[in-house]
Amino acid sequence: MGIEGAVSHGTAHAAGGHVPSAADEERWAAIVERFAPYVHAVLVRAYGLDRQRAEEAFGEVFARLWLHVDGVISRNRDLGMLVRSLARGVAAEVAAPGDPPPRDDLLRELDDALAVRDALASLPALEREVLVRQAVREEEDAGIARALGLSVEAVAVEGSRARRHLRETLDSVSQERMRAPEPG
Amino acid sequence: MIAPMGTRPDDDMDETLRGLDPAPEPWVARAEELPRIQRAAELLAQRRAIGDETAMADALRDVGLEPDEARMRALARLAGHG
Repeated sequence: MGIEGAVSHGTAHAAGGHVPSAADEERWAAIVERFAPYVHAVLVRAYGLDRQRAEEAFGEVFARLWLHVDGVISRNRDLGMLVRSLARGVAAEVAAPGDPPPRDDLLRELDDALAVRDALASLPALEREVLVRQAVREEEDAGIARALGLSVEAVAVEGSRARRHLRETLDSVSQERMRAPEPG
Repeated sequence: MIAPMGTRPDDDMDETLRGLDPAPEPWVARAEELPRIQRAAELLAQRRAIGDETAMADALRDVGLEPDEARMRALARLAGHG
């Protein structure tokens, strides 16, 4: 079970929700951290919302996600699909009639970026560290080797292994997405 | 035409890895507050004061949040009155 599925649900109250524990708060923060860049990019870059509407929509996406967490989320991938759907749905709701249509090409790129990030999180720690330093921070292998106490050859091996594992994970995600309907 | 993710070359994958910038920190902080606002909603339910703005503000303060319009709106919603 992924971290989202592990959000527990304590005492039910009159409003029909639950009383979150401190642990729930930490898990929720991890969920927000995971999806915030994606939701922000969908609203601002793909839908072109101005800052005020984007901020309102961003809050709305996470409010709806919070309300949905109870009972709906059982696996990480379900949550990813839900967030994709919520971000698009809320963006469409707040978009004004004269706004340009969302950029479908960018939405696909953002979906890919989210899938890559999720896949990255599933890598062994050393592979992930090397890949992040190589690909995201654009550090040289020699510097990575010094920082991690590895040989330059070992850094290259770990980086290649990380990319191979990432591609394998993304293959399966890509195939699943082809089978699943596009979120509305 | 976008290549299936698993068939992309390393350069494309690296570019994709860099493709999501952080969201504005205040927005993230607000979203992360939701569990505490949920706890405030529980306090309100216990006090049976939902809809009483003073009580709502007190409930937010009791969970460590300074009341403002957005938090009051979120609280009303989570308390079932939004």
